[in-house]
Amino acid sequence: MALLEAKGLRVEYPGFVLGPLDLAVQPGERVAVLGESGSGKTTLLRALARLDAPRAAVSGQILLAGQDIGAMRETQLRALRMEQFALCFQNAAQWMNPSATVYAQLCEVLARRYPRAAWPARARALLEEAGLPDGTLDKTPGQLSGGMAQKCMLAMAAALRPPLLLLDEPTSALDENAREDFLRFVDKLHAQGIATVTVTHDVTVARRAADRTLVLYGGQLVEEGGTQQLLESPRHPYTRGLLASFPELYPLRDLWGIRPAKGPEGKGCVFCARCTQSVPACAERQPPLVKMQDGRKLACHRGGVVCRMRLRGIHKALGGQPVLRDAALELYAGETVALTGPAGSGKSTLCAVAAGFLAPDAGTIEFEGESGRMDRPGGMQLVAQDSAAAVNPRFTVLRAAAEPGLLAGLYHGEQEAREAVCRALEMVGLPAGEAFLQRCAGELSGGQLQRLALARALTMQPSVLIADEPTAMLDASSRANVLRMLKGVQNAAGCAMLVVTHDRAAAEKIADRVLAMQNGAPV
Amino acid sequence: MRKNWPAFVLGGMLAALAVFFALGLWANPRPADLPSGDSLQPPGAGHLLGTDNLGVDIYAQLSGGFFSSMALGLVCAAGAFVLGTAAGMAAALAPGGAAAAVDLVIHLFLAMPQLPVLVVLGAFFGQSRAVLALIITLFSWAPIAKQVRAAAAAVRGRMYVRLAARYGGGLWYILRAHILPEVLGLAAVNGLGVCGRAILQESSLAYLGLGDPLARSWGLMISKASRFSGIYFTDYWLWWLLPPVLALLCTLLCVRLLARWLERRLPGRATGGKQDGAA
Repeated sequence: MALLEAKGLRVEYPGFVLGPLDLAVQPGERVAVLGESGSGKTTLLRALARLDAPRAAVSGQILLAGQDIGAMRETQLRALRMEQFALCFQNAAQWMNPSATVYAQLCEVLARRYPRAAWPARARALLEEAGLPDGTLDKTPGQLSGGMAQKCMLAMAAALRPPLLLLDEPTSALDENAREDFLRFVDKLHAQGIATVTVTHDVTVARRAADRTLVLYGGQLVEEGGTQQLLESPRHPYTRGLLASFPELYPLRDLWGIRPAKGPEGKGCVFCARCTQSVPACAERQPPLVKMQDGRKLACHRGGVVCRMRLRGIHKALGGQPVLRDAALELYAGETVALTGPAGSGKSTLCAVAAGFLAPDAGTIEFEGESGRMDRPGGMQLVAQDSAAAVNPRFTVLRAAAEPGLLAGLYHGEQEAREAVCRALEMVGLPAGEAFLQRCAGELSGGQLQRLALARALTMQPSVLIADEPTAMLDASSRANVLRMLKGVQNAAGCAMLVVTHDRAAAEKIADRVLAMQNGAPV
Repeated sequence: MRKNWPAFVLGGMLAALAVFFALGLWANPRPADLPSGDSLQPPGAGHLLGTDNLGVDIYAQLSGGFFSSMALGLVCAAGAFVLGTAAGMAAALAPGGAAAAVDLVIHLFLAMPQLPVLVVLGAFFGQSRAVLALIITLFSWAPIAKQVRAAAAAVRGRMYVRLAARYGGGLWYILRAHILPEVLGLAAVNGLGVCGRAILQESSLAYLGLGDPLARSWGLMISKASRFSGIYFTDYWLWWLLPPVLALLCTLLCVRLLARWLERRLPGRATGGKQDGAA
């Protein structure tokens, strides 16, 4: 039997709905609930502990060791608190009585089970377990450091050895050493068979202190699985984005958050607006959390992060020389993959094959849905290496950038085309004034042309963007600017991007994955 | 404006010639095909440039020759322009076999020795100016087609055209938006070159006696004058032979220089293109 079980738990207060969701915690299990601010983590934890906010409407069942505590009155709950489960909050110092010593407050808890004579010994044992010096007992919370106060609070929560501890962002106010100290204390308690539910926004805490992780977003569980698995191969687009926002996990890379958007609206998937792979169904109904084949659970209409483009076993010889040998590449929705390698290693050939400008001698290229089409919005777009050849020098900026949209019949009237072009130009950092729109493309500088080519691609709202050496012709400063701009555009537009560069350092900065060409295949 | 002075000078010269000869045709009371005075009259009050051996006014003959030569040249130029552009585009853009066939025809016409064939054809059909124009056109379009073909093929291979094709642009769109603007200037300038050559070829045929014997033509005038026995022992050549030679020279020079100047001004040639610095 599960130690703690929630069935159809739903908490609603003005402006926010949590759930309905199901979860179960087995005895001795360490569970983390991961989510960003406002995802409903704390609401969930408080609902589990029956510490509901006054205006919250709670429904559903909460079973603690088989007893429905959701239906209990406060007096009955009081008997269970500290005995059957206990809480530890974010700012311990605020939750403790500022005028009483730590010892006095510990005794308050101990008094529920132990005779007075046993208090001092128990208190000292607890403090020792927490790794706190003896003198702490005589101090008031105001005299303690944040880490010490946090540990004191955990010691109080664990004083009666409840089988379940609920930890609400226990380490978010602590520095790295204090956090590690605190988590070591949690480890000791776990070793004694105490189950923990840790609510945190910090991936590193989940990695350190949980066997199983639940990912919460917008009041909905979007993914659940073993912590190790989940962090190594996140399935849900939100989980992936959240993990990518942690510099601890990717020390070299620049930080890019999940693209911002309006919050969840209506009855669709809560992540729909920020998602890079949403389909109409996502806006219509909330996907259920379903169990996958490997036991992990996922709530996504698309079955998790979608593979936009998959190249397999590509062989290509140019002029009798094999250039690509058994090359394989997968590009997932919303990610940036950098392809590096020395000149002549086949980077551009791979791009040309992927973009359909060169037919491979062998192998398959698969695109998800219509992602491979260049003549449709939401398809694939190529930003070619030689920007001077990629834009007709006789065209005006407006005409060049509007060309694909006009051919695809995207615009109704010139005004609409003009607006779409202006938006794209602004995205890539080009002036969108009338004077610039009417300039001849042949008069632009190399950097401007590169941006114009990118803007033209963006007018088609691509889901896959292939950029072949976008910085090859630029000086160092322009190169840095273009790469940053490219990554920013990718993040905002939410497309999957394959970017070729021979600059390994720059690739590490902007890409989620960096592949190097070796023996004619990306590794 | 300052950079374009050769065009203004050459164009002005052509215009001056046209005005001069227009006056010769319409303000000159002497007919170009009937005797109107004594034979071999020197230039003077009655006949501004004198008369030939039959007493026909030289000025009137010259004027008629200018307009018939110009008309022939322009017709040939237009014909070669249209034919050359179409054939060049077809050779560059038509699917496989058709392109090869057009290419073969272009090269056939390029390889044919022009003057002998012209002489033979002129001997049979030269009496009709329309047929003459057709023949000259047939021997003038091939070089234009070759140039257009090369330019169109080059443009077609450019990334922006390949992209436009992938964006869903059909052949007609690509032709109209990307290739024609690139090719038309080139073809037009080469067409102007054809104009000059056509005038020369027509005069050559006429000189050889293969043209229309009744036409008012500079070549015919030169031919008649130079065959007049003993012309160099008299002063007749000064007003009979020299004016058509000079008129031919001036006109050809103006047309050819104008064509050459325009060709250099085409974008992407010589120093016409603008060089960009890196960003």
